Amino acid sequence: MIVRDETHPALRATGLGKRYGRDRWALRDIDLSVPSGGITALVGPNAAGKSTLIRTWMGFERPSVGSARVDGVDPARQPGRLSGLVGYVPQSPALYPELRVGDHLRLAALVRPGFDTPRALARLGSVGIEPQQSARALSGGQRAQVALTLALASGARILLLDEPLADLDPLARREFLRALRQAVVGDAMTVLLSSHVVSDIIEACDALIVLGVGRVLLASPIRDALAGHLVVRGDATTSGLVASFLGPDGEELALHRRTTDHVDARPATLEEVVLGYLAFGRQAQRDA
Amino acid sequence: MRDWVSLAARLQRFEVVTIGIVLLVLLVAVVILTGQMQAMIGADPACFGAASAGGPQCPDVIDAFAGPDQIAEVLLRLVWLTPGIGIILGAPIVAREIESGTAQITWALANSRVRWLIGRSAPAAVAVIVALALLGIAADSLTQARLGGDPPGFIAFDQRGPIVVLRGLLALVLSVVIGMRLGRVLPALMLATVALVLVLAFIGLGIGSWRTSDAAIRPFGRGAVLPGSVVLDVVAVLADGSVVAEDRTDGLPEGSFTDAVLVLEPAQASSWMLREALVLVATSGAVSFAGLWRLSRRRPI
Repeated sequence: MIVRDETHPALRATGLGKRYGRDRWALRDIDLSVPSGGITALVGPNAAGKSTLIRTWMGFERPSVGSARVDGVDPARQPGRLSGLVGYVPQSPALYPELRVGDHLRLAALVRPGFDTPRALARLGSVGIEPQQSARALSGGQRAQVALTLALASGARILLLDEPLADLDPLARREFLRALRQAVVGDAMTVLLSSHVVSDIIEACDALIVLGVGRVLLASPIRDALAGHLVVRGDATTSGLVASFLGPDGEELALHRRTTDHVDARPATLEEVVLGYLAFGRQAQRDA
Repeated sequence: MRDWVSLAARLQRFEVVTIGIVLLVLLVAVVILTGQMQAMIGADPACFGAASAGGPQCPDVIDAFAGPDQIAEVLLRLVWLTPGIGIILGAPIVAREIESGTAQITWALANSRVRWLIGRSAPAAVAVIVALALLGIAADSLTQARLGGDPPGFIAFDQRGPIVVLRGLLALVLSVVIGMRLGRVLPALMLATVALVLVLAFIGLGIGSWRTSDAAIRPFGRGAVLPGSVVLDVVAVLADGSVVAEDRTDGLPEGSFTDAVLVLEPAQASSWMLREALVLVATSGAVSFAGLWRLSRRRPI
């Protein structure tokens, strides 16, 4: 069972902004809390700022304004305290092609005292990866599994996963998410999992953050997001409208907050909630 | 440490093998040539050295010695290129991690990036020290052989002994830091080469000025300068004992000054080797410190 501690945020951003160059803002005015425990999906289109946000929490980027905290630790100023807390799986994780998989575990044990090598070996075995295999010969899915194994065995309580599913086939995605879910349940971990494909991750997640054009558009537990929204076909005029977007058959759909009293409204799916908020973000950007 | 060595050797196999082969060839050539020259000296000791007695056979012996001596000079000049070992081993250490993306996982795992870098660089540093120490000792023997057993003093001063090792270490440290800054291997190799030339030239200028303050004044003339000395400048000593540059004697009456040279004697060579070594160590230390400070702020992409 997953316990989410809403009072104790694992990840927090306050007024966070990240600017590259003079005026290209990758993130702006981000106020966000990710509670301890469970898996939170960070969803947004390409260039929404998902990777920048995750890298800021990793201490790989310094905020231009505002602050980021990981379990109360400032990643930019206290990297030594951060390292024991956080595990990270980047998009398209790169392994050392010159080394075998087992060598990666040796390296991890060298740089991370307390790295759980037996656990890592067991996990690799469970996904069919041998320590003797050359990293050069691994598929994208296997590389992601090795990277996840390294992060899980590092003893980190918080995992930040930056689009780890992007290179995986559907079967590998499912295996990856199952492994992640087991780890979260077994170790009471907090996971932030970013993706631009909602359907990939939604079944594994407990909460949802929708990021668009560098801003938080929605941050909510999934049950609340589902319970709080309705979809109306075609009608974008009633109260509580979030935004209109195109449905799978090209029909116009409108996402409303549940305050609407439209007679044709039906409960929104999570994908529709996300699409509605992304459309809202795009509209807001256009208006600005 | 054994784990780090084994990992580093695999991660930099190409560089290690290439450098190993080149160094081995150079080392073997130096050792063979030293043996050959020592044998020639041993066969006719009277023909060599500052205090040699000479003899009728000496012109032919010296002629025969000239061939190996020229090769020895070329080999000793090649020692100037050995800091390249430090650059080739050092530049990829961080730059390749950033370029290939492995730094993202490794730095996320590492409890301390500084400890990671020390572990990662230590095998390269040990390799540079061992390889260049062997080469420095061999080059020292070769220089002594060229001089027929006379103490070399300042002859081939920068091409033998501990300075060869320390210059290689400076190259290693500098190229690691530049690789960290650029995050690309090829540009790091090129920039590190340029930067090392500039840093060594700067150190050379500084040491040159420093040496002048330590030089002795010897009258200009045959036999005034001992073999193995280094002449820093030609000067003039005025009647009141003051020393001026030679070009400032224009217009002075004949006999109001004597020509002289500023010289460092061979006996001072070891002291200057120590000073130059300390300057190289201090420079390497400063570059390392700047690099380690920079490392914690470096993005892994």
